[in-house]
Amino acid sequence: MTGGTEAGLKPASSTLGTRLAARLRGGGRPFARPYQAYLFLLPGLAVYVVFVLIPIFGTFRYSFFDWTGFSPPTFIGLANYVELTRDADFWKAIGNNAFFVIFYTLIPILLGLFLTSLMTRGRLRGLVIFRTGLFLPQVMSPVVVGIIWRWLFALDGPINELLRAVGLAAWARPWLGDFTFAPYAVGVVGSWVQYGLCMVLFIAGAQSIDEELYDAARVFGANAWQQFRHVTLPGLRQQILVAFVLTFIAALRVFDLVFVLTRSGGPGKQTLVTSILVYQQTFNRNRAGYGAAIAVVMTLIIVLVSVVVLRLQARDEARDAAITV
Amino acid sequence: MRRRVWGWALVLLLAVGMLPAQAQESITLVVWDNFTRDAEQAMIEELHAQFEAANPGVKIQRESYDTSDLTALLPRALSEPNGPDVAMINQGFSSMGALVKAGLLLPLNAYADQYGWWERYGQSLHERNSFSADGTVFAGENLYGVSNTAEVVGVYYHKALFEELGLSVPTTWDEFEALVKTIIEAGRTPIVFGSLDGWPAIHTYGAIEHAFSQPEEIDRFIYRSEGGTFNTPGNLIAAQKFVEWIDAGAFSPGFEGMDYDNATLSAFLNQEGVMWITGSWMTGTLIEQLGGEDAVGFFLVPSAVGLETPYAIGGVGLGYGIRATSQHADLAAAYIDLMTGPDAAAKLFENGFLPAVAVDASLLTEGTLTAEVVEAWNTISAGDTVGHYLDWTMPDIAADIQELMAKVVTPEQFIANVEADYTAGR
Amino acid sequence: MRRSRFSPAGQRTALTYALLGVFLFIAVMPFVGIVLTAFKTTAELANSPFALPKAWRWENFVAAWEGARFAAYFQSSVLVVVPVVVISTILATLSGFAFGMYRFPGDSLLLLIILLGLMVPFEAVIIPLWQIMGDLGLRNTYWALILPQVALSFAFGTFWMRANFKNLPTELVDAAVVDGCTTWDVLWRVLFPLSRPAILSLVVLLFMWTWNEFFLVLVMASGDLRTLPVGLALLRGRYATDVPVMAAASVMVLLPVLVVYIFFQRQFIQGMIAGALKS
Repeated sequence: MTGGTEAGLKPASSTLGTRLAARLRGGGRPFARPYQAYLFLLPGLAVYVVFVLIPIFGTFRYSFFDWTGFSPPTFIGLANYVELTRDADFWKAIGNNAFFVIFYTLIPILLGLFLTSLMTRGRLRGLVIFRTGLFLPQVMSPVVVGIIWRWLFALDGPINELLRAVGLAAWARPWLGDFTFAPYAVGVVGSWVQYGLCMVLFIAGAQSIDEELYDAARVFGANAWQQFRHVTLPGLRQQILVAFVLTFIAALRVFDLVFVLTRSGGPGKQTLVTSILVYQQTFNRNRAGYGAAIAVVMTLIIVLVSVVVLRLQARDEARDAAITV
Repeated sequence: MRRRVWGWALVLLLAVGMLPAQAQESITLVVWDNFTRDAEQAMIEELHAQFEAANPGVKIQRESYDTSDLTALLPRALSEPNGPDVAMINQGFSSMGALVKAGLLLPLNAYADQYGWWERYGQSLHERNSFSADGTVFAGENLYGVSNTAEVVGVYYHKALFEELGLSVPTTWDEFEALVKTIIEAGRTPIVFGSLDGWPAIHTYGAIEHAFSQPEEIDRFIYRSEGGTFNTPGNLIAAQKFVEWIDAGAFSPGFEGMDYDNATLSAFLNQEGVMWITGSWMTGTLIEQLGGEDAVGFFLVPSAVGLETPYAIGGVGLGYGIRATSQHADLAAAYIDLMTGPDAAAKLFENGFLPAVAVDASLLTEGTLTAEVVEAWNTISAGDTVGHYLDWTMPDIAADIQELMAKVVTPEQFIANVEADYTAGR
Repeated sequence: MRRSRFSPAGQRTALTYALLGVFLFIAVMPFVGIVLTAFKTTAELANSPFALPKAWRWENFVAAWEGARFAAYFQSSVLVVVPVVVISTILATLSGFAFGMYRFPGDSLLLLIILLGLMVPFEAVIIPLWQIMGDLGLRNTYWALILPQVALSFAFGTFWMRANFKNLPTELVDAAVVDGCTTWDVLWRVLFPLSRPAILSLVVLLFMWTWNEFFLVLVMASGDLRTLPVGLALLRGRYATDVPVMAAASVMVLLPVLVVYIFFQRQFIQGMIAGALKS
């Protein structure tokens, strides 16, 4: 190793212009010898294959069986999938999952960006307090989240008290038990829990954005919004994609939050989601085969969206590379 | 510094790898039960000490789970060679029925003859722990569980509020309905209720339904025997009555958003409502929270169809069963005999449970809440009017009741929806 | 120096504080509520959770400590969480490096396969996983809790670290390679220091999720192998729950995660100050 420190590694010719260009290039891939990549991957992949991939394959296989989950399975071909298409509960649950994408994915990402922009520009005192406090919802166990929010949403709870205080008494209602508003109420709690993940991701990403880019932007007279728009946002592109994929998956796999707020997805089936259905079919009804089929369909939907997102990202990269070269 | 971190990680890995599974010594009887609450541990441990003293060389290894976890985990645990020898099994098609179908449970008929379990409580209660040998017929010829606790759903009421409003315990349905009206007119909430968790709605709707039904009707429906249907006049009247009461303000305001453990319980404790329709399992909690036996009384919802004894939701608690492949079946049976016998009953009673076997009259103090609950159980047990939880057969029925309460469906549509699911076998 | 312009910057700072304060309030109040609840009686629950308890009932904490056998389960939690976090952070950093810095045949397919672990509803996978643990003879050992969580954390961590590596300025790497550094040197001496924020947040998230994991532990372990959240669940009664005791137990389960988070916060902030000084 010749240059010991980070500073020593900086190319002497580095001007702001070339650094900006490199920055915008996004993720160039500097290493040529691909076999090394396999070596870095191998240890983790081995554990992953045995303890996740093989069980997933097992689930896929069982989706073609009539199986209680403990007695010998009977092969029934596509019967589980055929039943799915006619299962009103399944379609209702898919619709609810789609609805929750707004609250689990879009709102947390926007909130996370907003809070990151507040916390990373300028030096604030008491940053530890803000960061710790704002992350608390992520840390709390779902059981606790359920107890607290059930009380917040109750008819004589603080949310309704607030509405009455500002003259909106007609809007007061038992939110989680209300047929129309229960999905929104569960959604709000989802946003409250999820934004912390996005926030941490964005803050970590913002740390690696070069300060000089902001200095340059200021030299050109950029205001706070323009700095955010032209420096922070592009700098967080990777993190936003990650946040999107992770929170989107969370929206489609949500289980805990619904369980602690409305138990089995009530009132009626208004907050029923597919993971609850999978659990009920597998563990309460002893229909592990049917539960597996639901899981397989959900997985396919998630894979499809993720592939599209990752493709978009790859194309994005290729375009950037073409521009800089 | 970095070296040291790696070193520690390695040491930790090795240490974890060397931790062995539990070692076997002499005979270990593995027991899975449902007694998870703190206060229940001493009672179970005393009984276990008694058992281990009577059977030298035997060690009991116990795990406790709440009902839903137990139901989820048992099928796989019972198919393991070192799974639980004794386990508490939930009744119904999807729990006990499925286990019997998979051949995981031992029929207990011979042990029941040997130990005299048949005499512990009535035949109709043993039927709830029975299936046909292939697990398809509920209440079939084989016994697969013996229970030590019982449950009855009835009405807890604040004595002070009854006195204040000049009310007395109703003996007919009309009196009960009049009582509800009187309380509303007095500007109070008659019945605390919260349906957020779903299942309490089954008990509240079910209590009214049982009042308007004959035992045979609900028996047939639950056991899915010949002529079983949800489409009965009693069910329709009950659904209409339920909606009528909601509109009249018979239940807690905002009940749709109230949970059971927290909101409903504290609403009753704080006298925000006069009565609470729920199960005998709350007796211990109420006595503890209210600091005594005297503040609250208990009665059964009277029949609206002229039955001599009220027809009330209830039954025996989870039954102790034996794993089909257990190496220690005889020992397991001896264990069950102890846990479901009179000694255990006395201990359960002390701990606020309603034992399945009749409680010795000398233990009861007239006029206490405990005595009233025990008497209510004795009444329906002797009169053979022990009803059923509807979700035994219709696991989704809470969602249907929530739709009824939200007026998304009419009472007629509610009956039709449940009936459609019932005939489709869902 | 941007701090020299006083009034507009000062106003903006005040606004920033106000906005952060509002969000902080929304985020923290429920936590305050649960702490206060932990000291109350059941009858007091009907009042606001933010009302002070009539008497501070430390008994609830004692009941929770004994009821959930905290001492035994705490040990179990540590024995599971520490290896999971250490191993999966290392494995995920390596694979994130591979995906972020290399282009190799099958890379996007492999990434998708690894992501699959995050996409499948876990409730459906647990039974086949349980069978595999039986085949490997690992059921009822700590390995049955550690290995699946390492595998799942690896999937998440790979995705997390890949984003980190793709975002790092590549000319540093180019320069290091020109200078004749080995790949390992580049990873260890150049990229690792730059990746500290991402690694720290990964550690926090994995610690928190593994610490709170419930379902896997419930299915895979019994007896003293069980971890704290499952011990917490044992406090639940059949129908009734003692909410204040549950709250006390929750607070105790929560504390270690909070401590870890606050500890790593410090490192975060230091990184930021270093960054600011650099400019």
